[in-house]
Formats: sequence, C-alpha cells, structure tokens
Amino acid sequence: MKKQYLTLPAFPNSQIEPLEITSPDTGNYNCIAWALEETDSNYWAQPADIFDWKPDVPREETLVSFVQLFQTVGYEICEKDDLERGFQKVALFAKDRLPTHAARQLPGGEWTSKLGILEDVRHSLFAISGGLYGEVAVILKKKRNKKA
Amino acid sequence: MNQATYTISLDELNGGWLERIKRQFRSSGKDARVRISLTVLDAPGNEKSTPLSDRFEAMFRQWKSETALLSSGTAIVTHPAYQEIIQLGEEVLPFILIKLREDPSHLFYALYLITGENPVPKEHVGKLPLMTADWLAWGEKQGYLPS
Repeated sequence: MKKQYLTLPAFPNSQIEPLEITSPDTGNYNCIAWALEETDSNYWAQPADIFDWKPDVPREETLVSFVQLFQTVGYEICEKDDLERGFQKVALFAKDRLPTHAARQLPGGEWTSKLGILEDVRHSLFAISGGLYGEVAVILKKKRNKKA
Repeated sequence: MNQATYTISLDELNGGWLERIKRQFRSSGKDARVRISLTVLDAPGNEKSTPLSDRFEAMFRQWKSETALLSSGTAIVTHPAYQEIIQLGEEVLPFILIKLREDPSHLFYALYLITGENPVPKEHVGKLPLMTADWLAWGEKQGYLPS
C-alpha cells in the first residue's frame, strides 16, 4: 500500500519531515494510551470521571505525575532519545511546563504518535517539536518486550 | 482549571447557570473563594433567532476541528466553543445526545456539567464507546432520545 504523509501547520517542522500516516483516525485512544501501547482508552489527569488514569498516581497535570504514570509500567527517566538496543523509549512533550503529548520509540529508532482523535503517525521527534505540543521535556526508557 | 470566561445574555443568567459553574470549578468537593465581575457588552446579535440546533452544530464543529490534535482533557473541555455548548443548558441535551450517537466524542463532560449526573461506571472511564453507550442509555431513560 502506498505510504501517505501529513504536513500540518500545527507542526511547522512537518513541512521539512512529513509525518507518515500509519492508522485510520479514531477517538478510542489518545497519545498517552498509544505511548502506553493501549488502544481502548483515553488517558489524561483531568477531568477525572472522563479520562482514564492509573491508580495511585496523582491526577495532576504536571510532568511529575505523567512520569509517574509511565513508571507504573516500567519506564524510568533517561538522558537521551537515541536508539538503545533492547530498550524502548517514550518522549513526553510539554508547553509552558504543562504536559501536552507523548510519543513512543519504535524498534528502528523512529517514533510513533497518536495525534489527538486523528491518526497514528510515524515521525522523527524533530517533526513534531516546536509546534502545538511544545518541546520534548522528558525521555523515559524501559526494556523492550521480547516478542514471543 | 481555575479560570474561564463566559459570554451570555442576562436572560440566560440564572440559578441553573450558576450551578453548572460551581460543578465545573469544584474539583475536590471543597469550597473556594472566587472573583466574579460583569461587563455589559454591546447589544447582542441575533443569536437567539438562530435555531438552537444550528448554534450547537456550529459550536460543535468549531470545537471538534480546533481540538482534534489535542490529547489534553483540560484543553479539550476548556475550549471556548465547548464552554459555549455547556452554557446552552438543558435545552441542548437532545442535540448533544444525537451528536454522540452519530459521532462519539468527549461531550461527556458537557453532559455531566449540564445535568449534574454521571451514569458512567468507574470501569468505563476513558473508554469512548462504553461512555457513549452509558450516556445514550441515560438519554433514552430520561426521554431526551427516542429508544
């Protein structure tokens, strides 16, 4: 199937490095769920009763809480976003110090994101940096699951 | 969420409107001090002569298109068009529920703020199809939607 690409005014760098569409659009999951490798829920700290969250993690719209969210599934903060053999990474984005987005690293080193209620896309971190989601604020990593 | 701006007519300023505001800002069940100021704007346009269905549809389209890229629940529900939908009050409930049936979206918070009710069980929270089904069942039971 022919690859389809997206450039969006919300992500000025996507004019230089277009985003590759990798799924149909759906509101059934958002960027946080996709970074958590889930496709049946929408995660956010607030409003509670509307958005999913992990037990025992404070429902606060802070990078600290979002880091704790990913720590519940084995991620820890790391320094670099480069590809490390045996590990997968998540990049948390923030704007004005508020969390905005999460992207997950793929085995080949590129990244995947769910764009709100729109499609999943494959991209570089550069492609979605400096726009609507702000900048990468934290990188986390955990050991990549070996496929059975 | 600690700030919001509303533009409404004096006719719409009633107890129901104030209750919706209180639900929106009361995040922990605790009381809080707030500052309220009123500014009389120029005479409004013809909003009230436009059918409610058209007003809602315009607000919904604006909200959906301008929040499509967002995952932030806070950003989604504080969008000005979303807030305008909430301010339409109980009259807009059938239109919200019909829209949910056709095009599921995060209008749940608007339903909660307008009605003060929450028919979604804890295990469905965050799951769009399940929350949609919960609210549609509620809407049918309350008579806002034909079965």
